[in-house]
Amino acid sequence: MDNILQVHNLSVRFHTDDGEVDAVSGVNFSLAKGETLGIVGESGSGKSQTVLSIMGLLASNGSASGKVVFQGQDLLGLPPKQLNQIRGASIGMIFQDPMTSLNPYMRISEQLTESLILHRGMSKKDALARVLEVLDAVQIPDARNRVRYYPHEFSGGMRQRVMIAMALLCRPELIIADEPTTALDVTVQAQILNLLRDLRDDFGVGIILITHDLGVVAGLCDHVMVMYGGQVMEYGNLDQIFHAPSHPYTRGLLRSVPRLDDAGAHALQTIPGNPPDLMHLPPGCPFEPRCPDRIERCGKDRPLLQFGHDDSARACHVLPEELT
Amino acid sequence: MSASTPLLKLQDVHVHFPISQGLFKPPLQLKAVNGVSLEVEPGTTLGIVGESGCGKSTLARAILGIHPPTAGRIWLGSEELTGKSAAQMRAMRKQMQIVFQDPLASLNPRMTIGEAIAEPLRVYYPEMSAADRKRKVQATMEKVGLLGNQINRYPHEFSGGQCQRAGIARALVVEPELLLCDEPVSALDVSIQAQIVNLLMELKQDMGLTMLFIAHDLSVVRHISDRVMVMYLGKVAEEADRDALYREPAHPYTQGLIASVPVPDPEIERGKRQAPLKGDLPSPLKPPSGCSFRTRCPLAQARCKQETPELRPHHGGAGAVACHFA
Amino acid sequence: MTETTLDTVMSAQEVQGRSLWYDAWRRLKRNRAALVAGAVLILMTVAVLLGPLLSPYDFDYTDWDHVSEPPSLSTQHYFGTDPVGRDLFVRTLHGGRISLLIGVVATLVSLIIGISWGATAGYLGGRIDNLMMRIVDILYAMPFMFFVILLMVFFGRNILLIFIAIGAINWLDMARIVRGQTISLKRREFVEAAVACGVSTPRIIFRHIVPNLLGVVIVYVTLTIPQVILVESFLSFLGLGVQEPYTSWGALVNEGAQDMESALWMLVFPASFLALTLFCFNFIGDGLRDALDPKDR
Repeated sequence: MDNILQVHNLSVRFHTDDGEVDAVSGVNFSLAKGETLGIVGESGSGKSQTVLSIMGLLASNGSASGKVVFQGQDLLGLPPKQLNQIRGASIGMIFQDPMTSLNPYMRISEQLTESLILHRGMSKKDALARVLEVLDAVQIPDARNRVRYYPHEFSGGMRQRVMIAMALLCRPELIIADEPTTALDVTVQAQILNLLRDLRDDFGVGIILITHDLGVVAGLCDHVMVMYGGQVMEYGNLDQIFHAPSHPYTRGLLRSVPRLDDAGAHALQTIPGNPPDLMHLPPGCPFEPRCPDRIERCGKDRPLLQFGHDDSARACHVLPEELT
Repeated sequence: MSASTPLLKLQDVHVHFPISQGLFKPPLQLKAVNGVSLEVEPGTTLGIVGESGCGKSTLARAILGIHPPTAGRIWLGSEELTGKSAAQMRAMRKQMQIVFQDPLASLNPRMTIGEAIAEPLRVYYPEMSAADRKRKVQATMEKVGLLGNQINRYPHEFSGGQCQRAGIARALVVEPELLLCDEPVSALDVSIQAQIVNLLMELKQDMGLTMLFIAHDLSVVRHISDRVMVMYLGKVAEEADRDALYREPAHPYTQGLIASVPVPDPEIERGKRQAPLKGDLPSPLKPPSGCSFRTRCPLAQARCKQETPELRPHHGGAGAVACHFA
Repeated sequence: MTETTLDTVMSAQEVQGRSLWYDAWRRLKRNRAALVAGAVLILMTVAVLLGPLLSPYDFDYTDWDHVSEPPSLSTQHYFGTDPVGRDLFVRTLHGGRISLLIGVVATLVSLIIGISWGATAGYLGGRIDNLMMRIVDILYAMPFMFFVILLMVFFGRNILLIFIAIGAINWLDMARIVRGQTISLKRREFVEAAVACGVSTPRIIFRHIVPNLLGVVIVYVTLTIPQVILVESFLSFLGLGVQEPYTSWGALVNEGAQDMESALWMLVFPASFLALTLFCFNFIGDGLRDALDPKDR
């Protein structure tokens, strides 16, 4: 397996007026070339902070520890200038809200050619040609004319395509997409997901996809990492996570999602309780207060991530066979 | 045919907003709601789905009288709402309450949740003593799953799910007949959504509520509704019994919408190769002529450009579709 | 079964809530400059109220034996005397009473008028808003000094008149600020929720909107008070301020400036008190702005 990204024991801590917040604790995973990894979790799970720390985009009161190895370098220790180069050239990022990621005062052509001219030293003419090439790849109709538009002249779905184009410009090895379709309408979301599928197949780029929507994960990912309270609960390939989940949280999550093909009007199975308070995490497993399968040990010992055969992993004291 | 009067009835309701185009041009009309008729039987839940610009939120506010309709008529039971004065509408609102989308934003950050929940009581039962009010507030809090002793806490001290429960408590404290829910679970985490959906279903049963459930999440709507209405750019595309709509959607938009929803099942998702609907949602300011869906419809023909389809009975008389070819 | 939340607090005792004001107070306490400034202001207030008790002299007593004398402990003229023999220590403190009173009362007047006007205009919107704000614009355009001088000429140098004159001008700024805040607040969902619950318009304005704009207003007030004190000083400088034998810091500074070369103490003491007070209000204002940051969450 050719790994383009390896994350070892990543932890992120925020220093706030009210106390220390452990947003991420001890995350381990790797991404192979051309693979799509889905990171799933709810609020407070730490999924966004994990990738923000990989990209060096943490808020000033946050500090990350551990190792993030990409292209042979530990990204966490890099000075900002070098990180900037890698960010533009080898890692592309797609955020949730395209409106805030695009400068409203610049035309799309200017914004997109800017990074090519700065990072690759291309001439304006060459940069524009490449931009048009990428805009065609993300299926923006009439790219030649539309490239002169301002962001507000595009619809939500189109803007997101522009974001994706921006991420693809420098032919990155890795794309990180943080809730790329959450703010879009359902029918537009389907188009964007389809586009991401096509791009992944055509360009062989590795993708880390962060989302809370299990349906999106099922459509796009090879592997899935489930996070809760800043820690990894379970990791596995797509079929295993959806058909044979081995962690109480994953199982609870899958059971509580109403499905379109579910004809019933019965009550949904829920996970009782509320999302965790990251400032006062319990000493043991963060999911323990809400877990239907908890045993005494769960409140005291934090379960470590145990790797099974075929690359899967789970962090739970209770054996899979004994879960409800 | 049911003999009972529908609790809520809308007849050809229009809500238009004038958008100024400067001094010399006539204002553009934003037709947020463009001719919607519906009936909701007491004790049932009508789910309204649609994407941005379809007008579902504006419809909710028109029913409540926050943005009175530009044309059309609305009845609550046997009382007509359109044409009532502001004071009369305020009195009517005792019978219909609303739960909003953003739980934290819908609560005044400077009021305790006890005060927030008590506010409708102050408006509609001014003679109620403070002690009685407090009792009622705490009882309602327990009903929605909040602890009564939390009555003096502020919204920012609660999680999103708890704030939404407080919002529901505020809506139900005066025991309305009709409960409008405007995207009540979209801003919540997945595991909390399930709790709130269950809560709403339970409360509806216990209190004999009639619900109007507005959402863009088709799976949640399927779960909670008895009948479903699909809106597109201010008009009704299709309306039917829940099972009929999801099993055999008649309108091409409904079909596309249902096919677009990602399902948490790898087998089903792997089979999807093409996005069901192409193109973007047209701007509600300049909707396409004739059938507003024709720009994205796989069945569109010349007739669709010239003639706006009427809502005709379908689904064996238990529903309706607005399409020339359904 | 209803889903119950798994709170760990299971007692029947009611839990005390932690309001946003309390959070802001905690943040303010951490700001040393603001705390020190607050303490100084409190001391200042106590001093102007009780300080004169420390001196055997009255503020209008003329001591012909000690005219224009520098400060001395033996004569108990701690700050010296003025050309008419009046004790400067007591006069400074009495002047402080007037200056602080004008500052606080005039600001309060402008606060009440400004909030009511601005919140009503902002919430009602449309033509009423237009009308109300055009009145504000017209009043803004009036030359303030001209107006005050006219008042003084017609009604004499009445201290009540000074309150009214200054308050009447300052409320315009307050109204504009409050209107702006109201317009952005009325779009928030909790206001819509209140409308949906059937709450009456006056109650919405005063129970929902005003408490949420108090943060901005409080900061503005702490910066208005020094402004008002300075305006009064300016009026005194022009000879239009409080009438003799009453005095204010501004009047004292005016007198002191005239005799600066021969009797420096007459300028230094009142000017220091004035400057110190203004500093303190500004520090507190800055501290409050940080503590009441609108991005509460």
